[in-house]
Amino acid sequence: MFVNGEKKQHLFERIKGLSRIFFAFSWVSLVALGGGYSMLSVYRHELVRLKIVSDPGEVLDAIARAQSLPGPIAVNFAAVMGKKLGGFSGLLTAVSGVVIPPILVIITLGKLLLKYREVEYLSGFLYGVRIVVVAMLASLVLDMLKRYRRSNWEYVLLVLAVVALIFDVPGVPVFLAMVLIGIFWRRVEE
Amino acid sequence: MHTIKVLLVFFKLGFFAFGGGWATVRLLQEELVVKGGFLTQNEFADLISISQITPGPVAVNMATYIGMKLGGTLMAVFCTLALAAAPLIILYFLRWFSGWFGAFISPVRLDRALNFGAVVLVSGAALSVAESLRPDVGAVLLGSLAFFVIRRFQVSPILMLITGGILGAFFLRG
Repeated sequence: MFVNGEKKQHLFERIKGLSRIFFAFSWVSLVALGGGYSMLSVYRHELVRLKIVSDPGEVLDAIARAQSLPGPIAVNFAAVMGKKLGGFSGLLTAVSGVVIPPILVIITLGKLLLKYREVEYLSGFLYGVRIVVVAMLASLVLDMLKRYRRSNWEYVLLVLAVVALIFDVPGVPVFLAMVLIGIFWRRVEE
Repeated sequence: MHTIKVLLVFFKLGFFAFGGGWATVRLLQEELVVKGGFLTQNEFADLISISQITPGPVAVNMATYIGMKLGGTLMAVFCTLALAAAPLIILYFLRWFSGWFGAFISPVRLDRALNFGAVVLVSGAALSVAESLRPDVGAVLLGSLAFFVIRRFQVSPILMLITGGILGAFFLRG
Protein backbone atom coordinates (compact mmCIF):
# COMPACT_ATOMS: atom_id res chain seq x y z
CA MET A 1 0.00 0.00 0.00
CA PHE A 2 2.71 2.38 1.09
CA VAL A 3 4.90 1.45 -1.85
CA ASN A 4 2.03 1.99 -4.19
CA GLY A 5 1.40 5.44 -2.73
CA GLU A 6 5.05 6.34 -3.14
CA LYS A 7 4.96 5.21 -6.74
CA LYS A 8 1.93 7.35 -7.37
CA GLN A 9 3.71 10.30 -5.81
CA HIS A 10 6.71 9.65 -8.03
CA LEU A 11 4.54 9.42 -11.14
CA PHE A 12 2.80 12.63 -10.20
CA GLU A 13 6.11 14.46 -9.80
CA ARG A 14 7.27 13.13 -13.16
CA ILE A 15 4.12 14.27 -14.95
CA LYS A 16 4.44 17.66 -13.27
CA GLY A 17 8.02 17.94 -14.47
CA LEU A 18 7.14 16.90 -18.00
CA SER A 19 4.22 19.30 -18.27
CA ARG A 20 6.52 22.12 -17.10
CA ILE A 21 8.88 21.18 -19.91
CA PHE A 22 6.00 21.06 -22.37
CA PHE A 23 4.62 24.48 -21.47
CA ALA A 24 8.05 26.10 -21.34
CA PHE A 25 8.90 24.84 -24.81
CA SER A 26 5.56 25.75 -26.35
CA TRP A 27 5.92 29.19 -24.78
CA VAL A 28 9.36 29.77 -26.30
CA SER A 29 8.17 28.40 -29.58
CA LEU A 30 5.37 30.95 -29.59
CA VAL A 31 7.48 33.96 -28.60
CA ALA A 32 10.48 33.18 -30.77
CA LEU A 33 8.95 34.35 -34.04
CA GLY A 34 10.63 33.76 -37.33
CA GLY A 35 12.56 30.63 -36.49
CA GLY A 36 16.21 30.13 -37.38
CA TYR A 37 19.15 31.41 -35.45
CA SER A 38 17.57 34.62 -34.19
CA MET A 39 15.28 32.64 -31.91
CA LEU A 40 18.04 30.79 -30.12
CA SER A 41 18.86 33.80 -27.95
CA VAL A 42 15.18 34.03 -27.01
CA TYR A 43 15.29 30.36 -26.06
CA ARG A 44 18.26 30.87 -23.79
CA HIS A 45 16.72 33.87 -22.08
CA GLU A 46 13.28 32.34 -21.58
CA LEU A 47 14.37 28.87 -20.45
CA VAL A 48 16.52 30.43 -17.74
CA ARG A 49 13.73 32.82 -16.75
CA LEU A 50 11.22 29.96 -16.49
CA LYS A 51 13.78 28.06 -14.36
CA ILE A 52 13.79 25.08 -16.70
CA VAL A 53 17.57 25.30 -16.71
CA SER A 54 19.67 27.00 -14.07
CA ASP A 55 22.81 27.54 -16.12
CA PRO A 56 22.69 29.43 -19.47
CA GLY A 57 25.83 27.53 -20.46
CA GLU A 58 23.77 24.34 -20.58
CA VAL A 59 21.58 25.94 -23.23
CA LEU A 60 24.63 26.99 -25.23
CA ASP A 61 25.93 23.41 -25.17
CA ALA A 62 22.60 22.12 -26.40
CA ILE A 63 22.57 24.73 -29.18
CA ALA A 64 26.04 23.67 -30.31
CA ARG A 65 24.92 20.04 -30.45
CA ALA A 66 21.68 20.95 -32.20
CA GLN A 67 23.60 22.74 -34.93
CA SER A 68 25.51 19.63 -35.87
CA LEU A 69 22.27 17.76 -36.63
CA PRO A 70 20.33 18.05 -39.87
CA GLY A 71 16.73 19.24 -39.67
CA PRO A 72 15.14 22.41 -38.33
CA ILE A 73 17.33 23.84 -35.57
CA ALA A 74 14.40 24.52 -33.21
CA VAL A 75 13.33 20.88 -33.32
CA ASN A 76 16.91 19.69 -32.88
CA PHE A 77 17.43 21.98 -29.95
CA ALA A 78 14.24 20.77 -28.26
CA ALA A 79 15.34 17.18 -28.82
CA VAL A 80 18.79 17.72 -27.31
CA MET A 81 17.60 19.87 -24.41
CA GLY A 82 14.54 17.72 -23.68
CA LYS A 83 16.66 14.58 -23.54
CA LYS A 84 19.03 16.22 -21.10
CA LEU A 85 16.14 17.36 -18.89
CA GLY A 86 14.02 14.23 -18.82
CA GLY A 87 15.40 11.36 -20.89
CA PHE A 88 13.46 10.03 -23.82
CA SER A 89 10.07 11.16 -22.51
CA GLY A 90 11.57 14.61 -21.92
CA LEU A 91 12.74 14.61 -25.53
CA LEU A 92 9.29 13.74 -26.86
CA THR A 93 7.66 16.30 -24.57
CA ALA A 94 9.99 19.12 -25.58
CA VAL A 95 9.71 18.34 -29.28
CA SER A 96 5.91 18.26 -29.18
CA GLY A 97 5.96 21.46 -27.13
CA VAL A 98 7.99 23.18 -29.84
CA VAL A 99 5.99 21.78 -32.74
CA ILE A 100 2.37 22.10 -31.56
CA PRO A 101 2.01 25.93 -31.44
CA PRO A 102 3.28 26.42 -35.02
CA ILE A 103 0.97 23.64 -36.23
CA LEU A 104 -2.04 25.37 -34.69
CA VAL A 105 -1.03 28.79 -35.99
CA ILE A 106 -0.38 27.59 -39.54
CA ILE A 107 -3.57 25.53 -39.69
CA THR A 108 -5.54 28.64 -38.74
CA LEU A 109 -3.59 31.05 -40.92
CA GLY A 110 -3.43 28.58 -43.79
CA LYS A 111 -7.19 28.24 -43.89
CA LEU A 112 -7.51 32.03 -43.93
CA LEU A 113 -4.85 32.27 -46.61
CA LEU A 114 -6.56 29.73 -48.85
CA LYS A 115 -9.81 31.66 -48.43
CA TYR A 116 -8.57 35.24 -48.80
CA ARG A 117 -5.66 34.80 -51.25
CA GLU A 118 -7.32 37.11 -53.72
CA VAL A 119 -7.71 40.02 -51.30
CA GLU A 120 -5.27 42.60 -52.64
CA TYR A 121 -4.15 43.99 -49.29
CA LEU A 122 -3.16 40.54 -48.08
CA SER A 123 -1.26 39.61 -51.22
CA GLY A 124 0.36 43.06 -51.18
CA PHE A 125 1.41 42.55 -47.56
CA LEU A 126 2.93 39.16 -48.28
CA TYR A 127 4.65 40.56 -51.35
CA GLY A 128 6.22 43.33 -49.27
CA VAL A 129 7.41 40.78 -46.69
CA ARG A 130 8.91 38.71 -49.52
CA ILE A 131 11.03 41.64 -50.67
CA VAL A 132 12.36 42.23 -47.17
CA VAL A 133 13.11 38.50 -46.87
CA VAL A 134 15.31 38.67 -49.98
CA ALA A 135 17.13 41.71 -48.55
CA MET A 136 17.64 39.91 -45.22
CA LEU A 137 19.02 36.86 -46.99
CA ALA A 138 21.43 38.96 -49.03
CA SER A 139 22.66 40.49 -45.78
CA LEU A 140 22.92 37.04 -44.17
CA VAL A 141 25.08 35.80 -47.06
CA LEU A 142 27.44 38.74 -46.52
CA ASP A 143 27.70 37.93 -42.80
CA MET A 144 28.36 34.26 -43.50
CA LEU A 145 31.10 35.15 -45.97
CA LYS A 146 32.77 37.30 -43.35
CA ARG A 147 33.01 34.46 -40.86
CA TYR A 148 36.09 33.03 -42.53
CA ARG A 149 38.79 34.64 -44.64
CA ARG A 150 38.59 33.09 -48.06
CA SER A 151 40.86 33.21 -51.10
CA ASN A 152 39.85 34.69 -54.46
CA TRP A 153 39.56 31.21 -55.94
CA GLU A 154 37.03 30.29 -53.33
CA TYR A 155 34.98 33.34 -54.25
CA VAL A 156 35.11 32.33 -57.92
CA LEU A 157 33.85 28.87 -56.94
CA LEU A 158 31.03 30.36 -54.88
CA VAL A 159 29.91 32.48 -57.83
CA LEU A 160 30.02 29.42 -60.12
CA ALA A 161 27.95 27.42 -57.65
CA VAL A 162 25.32 30.16 -57.42
CA VAL A 163 25.21 30.34 -61.24
CA ALA A 164 24.67 26.57 -61.28
CA LEU A 165 21.67 27.06 -58.97
CA ILE A 166 20.29 29.74 -61.28
CA PHE A 167 20.42 27.15 -64.07
CA ASP A 168 18.43 24.76 -61.89
CA VAL A 169 21.18 22.38 -60.88
CA PRO A 170 19.79 20.64 -57.73
CA GLY A 171 20.92 22.14 -54.43
CA VAL A 172 22.12 19.03 -52.59
CA PRO A 173 24.83 17.96 -55.09
CA VAL A 174 26.06 21.57 -55.32
CA PHE A 175 26.15 21.81 -51.53
CA LEU A 176 28.00 18.52 -51.12
CA ALA A 177 30.47 19.44 -53.86
CA MET A 178 31.20 22.73 -52.11
CA VAL A 179 31.67 21.06 -48.72
CA LEU A 180 34.05 18.46 -50.19
CA ILE A 181 36.00 21.17 -52.00
CA GLY A 182 36.02 23.15 -48.75
CA ILE A 183 37.56 20.23 -46.87
CA PHE A 184 40.05 19.35 -49.60
CA TRP A 185 41.08 22.95 -50.17
CA ARG A 186 42.44 23.37 -46.65
CA ARG A 187 44.32 20.13 -46.96
CA VAL A 188 46.13 21.44 -50.03
CA GLU A 189 47.01 24.75 -48.46
CA GLU A 190 48.37 23.36 -45.21
CA MET B 1 -0.72 5.40 -51.26
CA HIS B 2 -0.52 9.05 -52.11
CA THR B 3 -0.61 9.91 -48.42
CA ILE B 4 2.38 7.69 -47.70
CA LYS B 5 4.29 9.20 -50.59
CA VAL B 6 3.73 12.71 -49.23
CA LEU B 7 4.78 11.64 -45.73
CA LEU B 8 7.94 10.06 -47.15
CA VAL B 9 8.85 13.31 -48.88
CA PHE B 10 8.76 15.14 -45.53
CA PHE B 11 10.55 12.34 -43.74
CA LYS B 12 13.34 12.56 -46.32
CA LEU B 13 13.46 16.35 -46.08
CA GLY B 14 14.09 16.04 -42.35
CA PHE B 15 17.30 14.14 -43.04
CA PHE B 16 18.61 16.42 -45.75
CA ALA B 17 17.87 19.74 -44.17
CA PHE B 18 21.47 20.60 -43.35
CA GLY B 19 21.98 23.62 -41.17
CA GLY B 20 18.24 24.06 -40.78
CA GLY B 21 16.55 27.34 -41.63
CA TRP B 22 17.63 29.13 -44.74
CA ALA B 23 19.95 26.50 -46.08
CA THR B 24 16.93 24.25 -46.60
CA VAL B 25 14.75 26.63 -48.59
CA ARG B 26 16.21 25.75 -51.98
CA LEU B 27 15.78 22.08 -51.21
CA LEU B 28 12.19 22.64 -50.08
CA GLN B 29 11.47 24.42 -53.34
CA GLU B 30 12.90 21.58 -55.41
CA GLU B 31 11.00 18.89 -53.52
CA LEU B 32 7.69 20.63 -52.83
CA VAL B 33 7.21 22.95 -55.82
CA VAL B 34 9.16 21.44 -58.72
CA LYS B 35 9.07 17.67 -58.02
CA GLY B 36 6.07 17.26 -55.72
CA GLY B 37 3.85 19.93 -57.21
CA PHE B 38 2.23 20.45 -53.80
CA LEU B 39 2.62 24.22 -53.97
CA THR B 40 2.73 26.89 -56.65
CA GLN B 41 5.77 29.18 -56.75
CA ASN B 42 3.61 31.98 -55.39
CA GLU B 43 2.24 29.92 -52.51
CA PHE B 44 5.79 28.88 -51.71
CA ALA B 45 6.99 32.48 -51.51
CA ASP B 46 3.93 33.42 -49.44
CA LEU B 47 4.62 30.62 -46.98
CA ILE B 48 8.20 31.76 -46.54
CA SER B 49 6.92 35.26 -45.81
CA ILE B 50 4.33 33.95 -43.36
CA SER B 51 6.75 31.70 -41.58
CA GLN B 52 9.01 34.69 -40.89
CA ILE B 53 6.33 36.35 -38.82
CA THR B 54 4.82 33.26 -37.17
CA PRO B 55 6.27 30.73 -34.73
CA GLY B 56 8.08 27.68 -36.06
CA PRO B 57 10.79 26.96 -38.64
CA VAL B 58 10.01 27.33 -42.37
CA ALA B 59 10.08 23.59 -43.03
CA VAL B 60 7.69 22.86 -40.16
CA ASN B 61 5.29 25.55 -41.36
CA MET B 62 5.37 24.19 -44.91
CA ALA B 63 4.74 20.63 -43.79
CA THR B 64 1.70 21.77 -41.80
CA TYR B 65 0.32 23.88 -44.63
CA ILE B 66 0.76 21.24 -47.32
CA GLY B 67 -0.71 18.54 -45.09
CA MET B 68 -3.71 20.74 -44.44
CA LYS B 69 -4.13 21.54 -48.10
CA LEU B 70 -3.93 17.89 -49.15
CA GLY B 71 -5.87 16.17 -46.38
CA GLY B 72 -7.05 18.47 -43.61
CA THR B 73 -5.97 18.90 -40.02
CA LEU B 74 -4.93 15.33 -39.22
CA MET B 75 -2.74 15.13 -42.31
CA ALA B 76 -1.19 18.46 -41.31
CA VAL B 77 -0.14 16.95 -37.99
CA PHE B 78 1.25 13.80 -39.59
CA CYS B 79 3.29 15.68 -42.21
CA THR B 80 4.83 17.81 -39.48
CA LEU B 81 5.64 14.75 -37.37
CA ALA B 82 7.23 13.03 -40.38
CA LEU B 83 9.52 16.03 -40.74
CA ALA B 84 10.40 16.16 -37.05
CA ALA B 85 11.20 12.44 -36.89
CA ALA B 86 14.60 12.70 -38.56
CA PRO B 87 16.45 14.68 -35.88
CA LEU B 88 15.20 12.26 -33.23
CA ILE B 89 16.51 9.26 -35.14
CA ILE B 90 19.79 10.90 -36.06
CA LEU B 91 20.37 12.02 -32.49
CA TYR B 92 20.68 8.36 -31.59
CA PHE B 93 22.87 7.23 -34.44
CA LEU B 94 25.14 10.21 -34.79
CA ARG B 95 27.05 9.63 -31.58
CA TRP B 96 28.39 6.36 -32.92
CA PHE B 97 29.93 8.22 -35.83
CA SER B 98 31.05 11.46 -34.23
CA GLY B 99 34.25 9.99 -32.80
CA TRP B 100 35.06 8.23 -36.03
CA PHE B 101 34.41 11.38 -38.02
CA GLY B 102 36.51 13.54 -35.71
CA ALA B 103 39.56 11.39 -36.37
CA PHE B 104 39.62 12.49 -40.00
CA ILE B 105 38.78 16.13 -39.81
CA SER B 106 38.99 18.87 -37.21
CA PRO B 107 35.72 20.53 -36.11
CA VAL B 108 36.95 23.95 -37.20
CA ARG B 109 37.83 22.73 -40.67
CA LEU B 110 34.51 20.95 -40.99
CA ASP B 111 32.70 24.08 -39.88
CA ARG B 112 34.61 26.13 -42.43
CA ALA B 113 33.73 23.67 -45.18
CA LEU B 114 30.06 23.52 -44.14
CA ASN B 115 29.99 27.30 -44.07
CA PHE B 116 31.33 27.28 -47.64
CA GLY B 117 28.47 25.07 -48.77
CA ALA B 118 25.87 26.87 -46.67
CA VAL B 119 26.69 30.23 -48.31
CA VAL B 120 25.66 28.68 -51.61
CA LEU B 121 22.47 27.27 -50.12
CA VAL B 122 21.45 30.55 -48.50
CA SER B 123 22.09 32.32 -51.81
CA GLY B 124 19.88 29.63 -53.30
CA ALA B 125 17.16 30.49 -50.79
CA ALA B 126 17.40 34.15 -51.79
CA LEU B 127 17.05 33.09 -55.44
CA SER B 128 14.05 30.89 -54.65
CA VAL B 129 12.20 33.81 -53.12
CA ALA B 130 13.48 36.41 -55.58
CA GLU B 131 12.24 34.36 -58.54
CA SER B 132 8.68 35.22 -57.56
CA LEU B 133 9.25 38.99 -57.45
CA ARG B 134 8.18 41.33 -60.23
CA PRO B 135 11.31 43.16 -61.41
CA ASP B 136 9.81 46.64 -61.14
CA VAL B 137 10.79 49.93 -59.52
CA GLY B 138 8.78 49.25 -56.33
CA ALA B 139 10.49 45.94 -55.57
CA VAL B 140 13.97 47.32 -56.27
CA LEU B 141 13.32 50.40 -54.14
CA LEU B 142 11.88 48.55 -51.15
CA GLY B 143 14.54 45.85 -51.46
CA SER B 144 17.48 48.22 -51.48
CA LEU B 145 15.96 50.32 -48.70
CA ALA B 146 15.51 47.21 -46.55
CA PHE B 147 19.06 46.05 -47.31
CA PHE B 148 20.44 49.46 -46.37
CA VAL B 149 18.54 49.56 -43.07
CA ILE B 150 19.59 46.00 -42.16
CA ARG B 151 23.28 46.73 -42.80
CA ARG B 152 23.31 50.13 -41.11
CA PHE B 153 21.06 49.74 -38.07
CA GLN B 154 20.21 47.06 -35.54
CA VAL B 155 16.51 46.61 -36.27
CA SER B 156 14.49 43.62 -35.12
CA PRO B 157 13.81 41.36 -38.14
CA ILE B 158 10.12 41.03 -37.26
CA LEU B 159 9.72 44.82 -37.27
CA MET B 160 11.47 45.02 -40.65
CA LEU B 161 9.28 42.32 -42.16
CA ILE B 162 6.03 43.82 -40.92
CA THR B 163 7.02 47.29 -42.10
CA GLY B 164 7.83 45.78 -45.48
CA GLY B 165 4.45 44.07 -45.48
CA ILE B 166 2.55 47.25 -44.66
CA LEU B 167 4.42 49.17 -47.37
CA GLY B 168 3.64 46.33 -49.75
CA ALA B 169 -0.05 46.33 -48.84
CA PHE B 170 -0.30 50.02 -49.71
CA PHE B 171 2.08 50.47 -52.62
CA LEU B 172 2.73 47.11 -54.24
CA ARG B 173 -0.68 45.56 -54.68
CA GLY B 174 -1.65 43.64 -57.82
